[in-house]
Amino acid sequence: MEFVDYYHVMGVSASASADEIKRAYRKLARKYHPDVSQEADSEARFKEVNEAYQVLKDADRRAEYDQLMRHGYSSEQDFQPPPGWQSKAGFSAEEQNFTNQQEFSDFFEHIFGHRAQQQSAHFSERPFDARGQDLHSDLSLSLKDAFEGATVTLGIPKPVIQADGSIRKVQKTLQVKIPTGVLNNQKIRLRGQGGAAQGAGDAGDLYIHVHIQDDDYFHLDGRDVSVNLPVTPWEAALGATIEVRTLNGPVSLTIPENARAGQRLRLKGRGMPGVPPGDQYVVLTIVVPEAITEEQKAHYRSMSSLWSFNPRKVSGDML
Amino acid sequence: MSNIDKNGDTVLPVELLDLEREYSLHQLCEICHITETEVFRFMEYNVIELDNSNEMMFRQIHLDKLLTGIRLQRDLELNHAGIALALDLLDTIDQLKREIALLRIPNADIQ
Repeated sequence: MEFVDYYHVMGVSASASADEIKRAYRKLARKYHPDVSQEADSEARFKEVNEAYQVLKDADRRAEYDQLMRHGYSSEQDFQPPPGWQSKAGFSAEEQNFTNQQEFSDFFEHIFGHRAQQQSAHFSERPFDARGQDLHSDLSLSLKDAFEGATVTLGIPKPVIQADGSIRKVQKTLQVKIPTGVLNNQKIRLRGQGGAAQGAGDAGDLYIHVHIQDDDYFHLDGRDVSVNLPVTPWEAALGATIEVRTLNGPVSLTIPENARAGQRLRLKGRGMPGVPPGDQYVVLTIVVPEAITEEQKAHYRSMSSLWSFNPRKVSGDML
Repeated sequence: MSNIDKNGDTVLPVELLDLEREYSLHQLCEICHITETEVFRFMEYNVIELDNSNEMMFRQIHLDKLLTGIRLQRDLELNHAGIALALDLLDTIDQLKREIALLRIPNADIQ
């Protein structure tokens, strides 16, 4: 296990004041919060920042962490807590509700986990024969996997009650078959894969929230997909039959005569599967070729004399 | 009811939940770990807007907005008005991103 330098994560010095730490957290949280961030690795970065802040914002926890640092630990060496280490600065019942919904690193769990888990066992004491807790998890899928269906491996931190009554989160690996045509933001339920029951109750369920990754070519909106199709001016003017990629392989698309830039053509039923299946929309972009040779330039000149076309005109027919 | 794949691993069957599925106020509170009063407070600020406020049935989109709102409140210390504004702006960004993606010509150089 690696020693995590929380000061480094927060970008502050080890002597930073509580105010400085708070300011650093606010800045980093805004930058990396997965709900608002445009950064690629925002989720992982936010987890680190949040974990560092949970430790450094609390004077007692920070003092314990500093004590470990003074032991001479650094991120280069393998970390084991000193023998007999037990944090006295765990989490209050109020914070417990907050921290229970988050995932922390092994390092964090080893240092501050024990007491928190004991408290959690105490506060979540339920009547006998209680149904297990429902668990929630996220899954990021490529559009291809969502369309075709896929078997994915999920790592779920599952709370497991230990012999001494404390609760430890144990990483459990599940193989899950994602059916074809799952949509963005759709939820999947795995019955009985949530928290274990107490006594004769049923185990809780596991809910997976599916996020479909952006694709370079296909843009998903509900069950429909849209693609951009570049065409030449002559294909747009004269009409053409063009091969277009769909989720299910290429199909022939007929471009009508005098097609316009931005025009949307529909390929019915070529979107995500379902009842009814989604459609694929093809949005035309007209790409104008450069005139390089004398002959090409002559073509453009002859066009300018053939048309009295002015695209800057506010109204009237443009083509 | 599990299947065994070619590697001998157990593959668990799943249930796809309908995107049109509705949630009661009680279910919403349970999933989000918040009180009814908190839900009403989010509604006051139009973080969630019901189609028919007499029925008090919530859809997936309401649940998603609420969960995002709670995270923004917890992690960024936003108040309700700030959450409503942030969610509106995020929706606008999403829509603009989709439009830009469609207008962008693949492999075209920007000059």
